Amino acid sequence: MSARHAPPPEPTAAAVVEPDDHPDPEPRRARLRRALEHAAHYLPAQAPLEVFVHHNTLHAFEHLPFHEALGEAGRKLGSRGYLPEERYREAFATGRITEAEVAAALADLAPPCRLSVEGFPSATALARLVLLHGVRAETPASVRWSTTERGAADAFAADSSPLAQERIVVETYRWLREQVYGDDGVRNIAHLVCGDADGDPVARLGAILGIKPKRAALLEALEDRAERVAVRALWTACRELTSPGAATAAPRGAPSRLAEQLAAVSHEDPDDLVHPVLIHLSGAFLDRGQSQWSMPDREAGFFDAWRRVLTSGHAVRAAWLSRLGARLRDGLRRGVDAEGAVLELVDELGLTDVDLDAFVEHTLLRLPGWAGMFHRLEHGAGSIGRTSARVRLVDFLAVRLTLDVLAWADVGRRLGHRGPLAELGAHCATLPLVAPPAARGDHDTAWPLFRVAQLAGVSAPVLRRAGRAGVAEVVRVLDAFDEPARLRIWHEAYERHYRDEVLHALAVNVPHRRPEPTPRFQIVTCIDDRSESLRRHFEALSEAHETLGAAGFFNLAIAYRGIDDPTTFPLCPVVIEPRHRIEEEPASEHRVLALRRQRRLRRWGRVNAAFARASRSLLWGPLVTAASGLLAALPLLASVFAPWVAGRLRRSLARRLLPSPRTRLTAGRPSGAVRPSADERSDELFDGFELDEKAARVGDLLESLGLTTRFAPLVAIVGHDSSSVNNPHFAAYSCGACGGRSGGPNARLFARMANRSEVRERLRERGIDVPDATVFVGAVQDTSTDTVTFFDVEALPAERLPALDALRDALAEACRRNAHERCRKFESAPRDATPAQALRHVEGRAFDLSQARPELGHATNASCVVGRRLISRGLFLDRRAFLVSYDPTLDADGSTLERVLLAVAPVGAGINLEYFFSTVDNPRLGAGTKLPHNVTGLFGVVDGASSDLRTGLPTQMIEIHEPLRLQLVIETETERLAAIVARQPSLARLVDHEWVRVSVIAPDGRSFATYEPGRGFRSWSPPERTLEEVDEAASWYAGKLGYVAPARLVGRSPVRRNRHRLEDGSDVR
Amino acid sequence: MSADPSPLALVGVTAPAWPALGALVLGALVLLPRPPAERWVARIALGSLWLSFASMLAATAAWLLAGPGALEVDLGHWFHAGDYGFELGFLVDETSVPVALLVGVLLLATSRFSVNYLHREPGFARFFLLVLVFGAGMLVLVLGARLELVFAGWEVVGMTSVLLVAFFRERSGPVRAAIRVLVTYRICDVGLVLGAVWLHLAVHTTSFAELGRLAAAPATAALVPTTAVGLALIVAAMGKSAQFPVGGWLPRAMEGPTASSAVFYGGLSVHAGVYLLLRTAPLLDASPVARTVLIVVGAVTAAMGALSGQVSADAKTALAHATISQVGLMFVECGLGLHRIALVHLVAHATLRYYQFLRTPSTLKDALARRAALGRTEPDEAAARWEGLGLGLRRFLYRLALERFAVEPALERWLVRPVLGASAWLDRLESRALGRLARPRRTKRSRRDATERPATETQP
Repeated sequence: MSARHAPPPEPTAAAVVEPDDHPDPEPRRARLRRALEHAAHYLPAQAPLEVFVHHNTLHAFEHLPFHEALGEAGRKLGSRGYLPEERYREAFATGRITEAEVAAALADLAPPCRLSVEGFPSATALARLVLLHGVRAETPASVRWSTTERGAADAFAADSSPLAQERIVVETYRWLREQVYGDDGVRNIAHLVCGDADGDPVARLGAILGIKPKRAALLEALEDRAERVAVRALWTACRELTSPGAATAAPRGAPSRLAEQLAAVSHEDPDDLVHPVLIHLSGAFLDRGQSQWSMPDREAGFFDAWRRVLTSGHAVRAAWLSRLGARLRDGLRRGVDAEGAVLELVDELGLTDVDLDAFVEHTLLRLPGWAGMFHRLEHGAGSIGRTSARVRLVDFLAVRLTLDVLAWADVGRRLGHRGPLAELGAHCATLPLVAPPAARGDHDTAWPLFRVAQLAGVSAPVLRRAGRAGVAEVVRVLDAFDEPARLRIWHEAYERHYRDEVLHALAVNVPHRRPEPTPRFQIVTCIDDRSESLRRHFEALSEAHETLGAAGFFNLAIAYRGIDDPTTFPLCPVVIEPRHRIEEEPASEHRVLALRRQRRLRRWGRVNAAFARASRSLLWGPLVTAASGLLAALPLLASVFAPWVAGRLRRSLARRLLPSPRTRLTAGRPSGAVRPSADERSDELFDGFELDEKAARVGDLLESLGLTTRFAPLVAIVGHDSSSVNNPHFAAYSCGACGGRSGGPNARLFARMANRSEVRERLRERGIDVPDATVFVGAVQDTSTDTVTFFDVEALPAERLPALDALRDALAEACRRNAHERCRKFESAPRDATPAQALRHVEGRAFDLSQARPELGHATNASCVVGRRLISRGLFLDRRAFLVSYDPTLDADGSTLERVLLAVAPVGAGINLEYFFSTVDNPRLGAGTKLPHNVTGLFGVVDGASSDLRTGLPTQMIEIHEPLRLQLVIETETERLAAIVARQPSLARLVDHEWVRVSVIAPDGRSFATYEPGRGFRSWSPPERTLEEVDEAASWYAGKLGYVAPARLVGRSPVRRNRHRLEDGSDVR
Repeated sequence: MSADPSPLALVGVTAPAWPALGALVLGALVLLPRPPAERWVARIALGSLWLSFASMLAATAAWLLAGPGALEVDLGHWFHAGDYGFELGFLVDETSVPVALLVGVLLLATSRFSVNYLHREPGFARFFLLVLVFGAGMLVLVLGARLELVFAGWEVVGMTSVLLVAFFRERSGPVRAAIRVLVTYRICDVGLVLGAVWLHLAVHTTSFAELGRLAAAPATAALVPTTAVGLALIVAAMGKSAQFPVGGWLPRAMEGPTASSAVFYGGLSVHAGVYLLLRTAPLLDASPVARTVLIVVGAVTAAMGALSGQVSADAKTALAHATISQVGLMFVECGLGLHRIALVHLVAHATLRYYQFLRTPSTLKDALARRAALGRTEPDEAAARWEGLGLGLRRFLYRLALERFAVEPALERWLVRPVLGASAWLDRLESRALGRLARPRRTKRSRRDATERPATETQP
């Protein structure tokens, strides 16, 4: 895992100078391996879908600063990095970006060049105009349309200021007046106003002025039509003073990009021949159990299996593959392996070893999803399926290149190429391009200049005075401020707006910290942004309700096996290898029940498997379909027309038929048993935890939560999971800190450990005194159906049961309100539902076969607050914030913060950046719409019958997401944070390269600072405006479908009446 | 022919009209500058389909009340030309009633399903428009009493099928797959036209009821050109039902939204060929040649489909192969004269397959649940049986199945290319002949263009 996240090794100089005529193949093989390793960094790292884990889609570029990385990714992967410019301008129009923020972003990111042309504003001012008014190059057709049909050259643009207009009109009039009395005044003026480009200028001037242009009436007419004349003269000056310039040289592609070269000079893309064949083969080879027949020889690797299968018996092949059989047989006879075959093909193409890195990278990136899956499975298979296949990326490359070479030769033949393949590239270079590069012209030089001149109040005489040289400089500045540069400023301004909103909300909220009453319940949830609303609603029920947030595996990295699971699954972040096995086993009095459950499940599984097979088989098919076809109408109609009823029915039927025995988690090991060694490579699993380990895990988590005193009598640990049907991406909705699975077992285990009296004794030695009266209870929340289920309730002391019932009721109420709040973002949810109806609606979504959005996952996540809950309690953050509990007052040396950040920052950034990139470029970095998705090989989805493997998030998960980098707000001192970041390279990469943005709140709540890499911490002060105060969340979000700003909730709490400001932040405890 | 259809029957045969009307309204809405609200689109679609379903129930009731036998409802002529008249008539009988009800139910389910499934999809209204047009076409196909009317529905079904395969038209894959479907349909549909024209020439009618009577009566049976017409109809049915050797389009057609793949290639459209065979059963039964062809085509398709399905790595293609294979068996049943069985098989298979298609996104979760229930991760019995075969045999079988028995490359090499080559040759011949006639001479350049163009078009 860590190897994949390292920055990709750049090709070294040493590799380049090695002579080409080396007879020894070994160094070449080594170089090929290096090239593969280099290329593999850029492939998607997504695992098979059942272990979907969020990670930075562009992780390979993390060694670069964020904006540079986007540019580099654009060059390598062809991906976009920002929203379309219209979206930012929309945000500007609706006040989500203000002019001040654009100016601030511009000030921080100085435009790339300086401008000092007389009469023109500075480069920064120009940039501001360009941004705010959407000045940009247009197409030639659109410029023609604007000038001839919409009168853009006859009147000022509506968005230019009256001041600028007046200036241009006055200056132009005076300038022209001076010309009238020259020798050939009329003709001169006509030239200046209309130019020669469009026919006789005098006649055109006459048309503009509406008179026959004679000297006598000219001045009057010029004054009458001053605006028309001024604008026309400006447009003429812009056109005459800009030079069209040479067309950009045709990019002919490097020799390593033969496929692109061929596609550029012919009407066919060789990949259209190769991809259907290759995808079909790759799917069949990697398949983990969809097909009944597995590929023979798959233990030998893809390349060998393919050769052996394809050369058996006589075959009829498509014309372009007619020489494939001979080629494969020849390779087999000579015993060429995959690496050897790749090197031979590279030679055949006449590529030098210098091109190898670029060639391999380019070749693999033409089908990144499939290549990525080969790479991913080479380094660790999934947990299900027949895994005898030997998966190696080089095999994929060998198969791909063998097919490529045949396809290229075939396309080349149609282009008239007959010689060896090595000369095909040269042949292509002689052919005309199908789509020659666009030439420069008025549309991308004069037009932007014309637009910006109107906005800046620059008149034709000023332009004429600046002359060609001056104008060329202005055009250069405009060119340099191209789309990526503009989007970068827009995006920075957009993020700045949101960051200021969050910091402002916190700044207003902090002074309102109230004395905390003795807590009645404490719940510890995952830091997940979806928990924000649940926590808020739970807290709103009573001042004595407290909530905390920790990464959802609760510091227990376990390999877990539930009673129904065939094997153990890791329940922890993917970067951790679990070392402790925990199993769920039936309680001794329920063993019989458990056996019955298992028997029935087996029977169901056998019937189900047999049915699935038989309904597709030749002989059984007619019988089975005829017998069951009409019966299938029942579940079909029920689940389509009444999903909620059908879901409920199915659930209760399962409950009736499958006994649910009481279970418990396996006991830990006795003290003194073997301990996991520090050696990380060992993959030995140990049974449970021994006492010291338990105390350490529980103590560490409590400390980082800041929960070491003031325990409530009942503390619930709440993991989360998400249920849905007909949803291949189910794991992406579940707990990211548990490897895309339920966090319930971790919560359950934590509660059990924390209740042990021996553990508590050890904790007391550590200074954490959990009162005997305090009881922990584990639970799991379903974020899709909004239900909370408690574990091991029967193990609680009887006198706690009433309290548990009260907690259950409170959580149920919080869930209802939570469901209600979630419904506001669903377009298809009832608009004025009660919380109870909303709960039923979200439950229906989870049961509904047709529902492509069982929930919205982490969509809209944008910030992360690391600090005490009391700084954010009472704020409405719209389910956009990860909330991490951390108490700076208990962390003398910063070690707790370091631990918290190390765990939280990569997880939060991974989720955030995956949503970010899936949103800004869903076709390339996301998975596209779910509608045509087709589950392939039980490991991924493709579009329809055949496409690249779709990685990233589907449209339905990101359509309402607002791509903002994670705004990490940490309650600590700046020096402490700086020291931690400097110490931890993994954090430094995220923070210094701006993959997350960091702000700091001092623990006394009085000073704020934002971190700008290269500039250090900059103090931040809240804006003058007031923060909305509302009674309750529901009245704030009611009726709003889209964005809702942060607000402070002041309603309903009895404390409100005697709320008082705490001047000193230190004595809140 | 019943002279005076009951009011109930008249209501009944409006079944195809409702979706057509809905499609008209929806089509008008789509033309407005603003795309119609999803809620209204859904209301129009579901409303017209419910009305249609109610009409079908009325038709069923009318048929049941009318006693045994078929109920024919004549709605007059569309047009006359010479001694030919295009008659609009519907036939409600034991074959059309179950299939029409199946169509109604599956259309309703598809629309209901798609309201959620296609939410916020830019092509939302387009999808429902196509489903309504398809519904109207399918019902005309099912209820039509004459071959011409069936042909009209048949073409509408074909076109909507093509347009839904290309639903995601911004990508090239779906469009290419759609063109393949279009070409197959176009070629095979010639059979249906040919059959209808031939029947008119021979016996001056294409009414199914009348054909049945003619073929049954010994005096007139010889008049009916059963073998020629039967073979022509079989060609049409083969195209629509993706039979060997023209079935290659079906596995590639899984490009539209899951719901449309389900209703077309799991449920209705793919069974239209079988339905045509059932409709024209009296004719086919009378021709041993046609029956033999049916049995051979069906059996070969069934075997190939089943084997190809064994190696399919993705859920939708696997189901497509399974569907082809079962439809092949229905062809065999028709060839054997087991019409009742084929009808039951059709209705049951369509329902089950439709449901399985709708559930394809669950494939991964189902597999995980199944393995958990069985408590094992090793291969199951079927896979073990496969692994037990000899390596050489396994490789050979696997290659055949993986390449789908190389039907398409073979067609391309021995049919498509020769035909294209011949047409290119004729083209050259023509231009040379014309070139000699026309002065001034054509330039060297344009002649080269004329000869080179067909060569680049040989690649599909």
